[in-house]
Amino acid sequence: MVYGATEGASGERRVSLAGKKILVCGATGFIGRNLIEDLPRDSKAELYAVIHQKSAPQEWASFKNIRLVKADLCDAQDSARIVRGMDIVIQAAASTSGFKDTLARPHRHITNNAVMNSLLLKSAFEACVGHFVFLSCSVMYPSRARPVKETDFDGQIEDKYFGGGWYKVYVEKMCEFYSRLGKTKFMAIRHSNVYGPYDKYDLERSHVFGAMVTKVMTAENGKVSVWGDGSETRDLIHVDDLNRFIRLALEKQKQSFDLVNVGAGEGISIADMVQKIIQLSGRKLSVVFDNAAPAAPFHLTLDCARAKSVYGWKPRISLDEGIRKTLEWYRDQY
Amino acid sequence: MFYKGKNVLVAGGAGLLGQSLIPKLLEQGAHVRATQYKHRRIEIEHKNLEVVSCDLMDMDQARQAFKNMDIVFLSAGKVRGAKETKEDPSSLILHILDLHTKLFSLAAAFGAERCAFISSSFVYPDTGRPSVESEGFDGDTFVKTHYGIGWTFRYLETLCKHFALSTKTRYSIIRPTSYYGPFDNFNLGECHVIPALIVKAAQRMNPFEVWGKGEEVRSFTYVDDVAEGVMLAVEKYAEAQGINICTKNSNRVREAMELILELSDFKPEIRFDSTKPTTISYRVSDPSKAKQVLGWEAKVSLRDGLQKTIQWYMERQKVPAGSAA
Repeated sequence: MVYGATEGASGERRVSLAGKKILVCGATGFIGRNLIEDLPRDSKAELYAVIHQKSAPQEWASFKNIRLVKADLCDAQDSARIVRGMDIVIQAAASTSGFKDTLARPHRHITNNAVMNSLLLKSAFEACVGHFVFLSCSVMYPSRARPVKETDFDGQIEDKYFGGGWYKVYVEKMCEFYSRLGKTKFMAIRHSNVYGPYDKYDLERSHVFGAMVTKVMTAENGKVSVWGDGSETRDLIHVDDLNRFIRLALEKQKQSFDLVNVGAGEGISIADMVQKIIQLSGRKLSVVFDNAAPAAPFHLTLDCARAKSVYGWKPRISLDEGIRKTLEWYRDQY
Repeated sequence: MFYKGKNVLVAGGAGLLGQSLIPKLLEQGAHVRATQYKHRRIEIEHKNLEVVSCDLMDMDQARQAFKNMDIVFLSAGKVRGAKETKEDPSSLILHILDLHTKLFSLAAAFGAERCAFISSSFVYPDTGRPSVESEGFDGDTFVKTHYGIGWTFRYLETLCKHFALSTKTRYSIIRPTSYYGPFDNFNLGECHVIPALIVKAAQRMNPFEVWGKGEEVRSFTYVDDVAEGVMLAVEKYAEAQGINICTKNSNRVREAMELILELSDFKPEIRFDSTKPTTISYRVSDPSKAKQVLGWEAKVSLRDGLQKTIQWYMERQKVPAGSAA
């Protein structure tokens, strides 16, 4: 695939996304849906949204640059079919399973994800796709007081995150493996805790930020209960900032494989996070910590120097602004 | 007698390791169920052996095989030699990954007490000295052609640990290296170096072609030794940690070739062809941990092992066409 390249203001070589065919796997999920609604607006790319069991949101009917592709990513033929002819593949899909599935096939979410990603990587390699973006995560890092660099992964993953963490590391390694074999460029993104619109906000499935927002917005009796003692720290990144990094990576990546941290670069304690959400929601609530501190409190902050120096990226949305935007969106939805 | 009265599944019973495991398990009083696939056949009959023809990649068929098993040995999988690995380095990866993720989850879902995963010495980095277990996740695996397969075995080992942490099944992770013996794959173009040399000698190939320079170093281990080590690892070391099962001797391919020619009573002109694909030049593992933890060490010398294998292969050639694989 030949890219049209333009000289940016700083003289660096940037690839234009205009007219590019971009396949977004996991288009109805949190990150995928934000990408779909954001990327075509100013890039003039043609987006192919992969959907599986969930149907496409109604709003998409009015978007001109989006085509729907129905596929089961765990099926080898489907995987090869949808990747063929694409310039770019963004892999934001995760295989999740309902309660019934979990009983019938425990650990399917872990085993299926490894197979699903391996199929996609092989399909992209065989179809000579130009660029493949894999959304990894940051649970493979050790708990540290200071920000962690990409090279700080030491082969040890704590038990709680062991299965999920190793599957991500494995897929990163396979990206690197395929980058040496063929023509496809691979970008693996180790992002921190992502938040924003379309995240999961039901308490059964949500992550820490989504759960907090839901608890604050639905609290009764003036109280919000938070598990633990609130002392663990997290690095929160707004989904729009993450997606802006993806865009920059597509335009600027030169190496055939790169692995990059994308996060706020600063940590916030769970207690402070709850206070901020309460304050910005305008509600009057007190926080009850309903449990002792975990035996090994987990602290994670990403060192994002590489994202800045190589791709000219840094987060633009402050936590206050991000939370405010997210709460506005939440009020509209629920 | 650890295996006495136990229900034991040998998934992939018709292969090199499977056919060695089955008689040993029966001898120890186990009730064995063994799977075979396509043309490969299990050539053992015994009142305590149930042979099932099935495709383990098909979940419904695989599920039937895993029902009511106390112990499962996962010895299924394809063989790839240097040629295919070079032509399509990713061909094996998906197969191995997909098959094992399915079989690990079935072992756990059906509540097997123990599960043996046959990993590989491909997990090790290229250090130029015998690999020890603690190096299994050091740096990167053998780069170039084996990077993908090496990381796939590493990942599968972590998956065993994941299941060990979250279910009642206990896993043994065995890292054999370069084993050989009867029932190996003897198809030229697919097979490993020892079966290839045996076939070429049997065919009286002259000049005798050897891929590479013959200088590659391996821990060639006879399959009966490996099977014994695997069974002991399941009994005594189900800790979801890797353990090397191999001989402490290492040999050059040239030495194995000389023995094979001698045992085949054949003196051809030898041509080393370094344009043909070979793999890693030095791949040797240290079996000290197995001796210490299992009280096991390989007993069969390379000469004896090759003799048994050649004898088996020659007998096999006498069987009328069409009645054997």
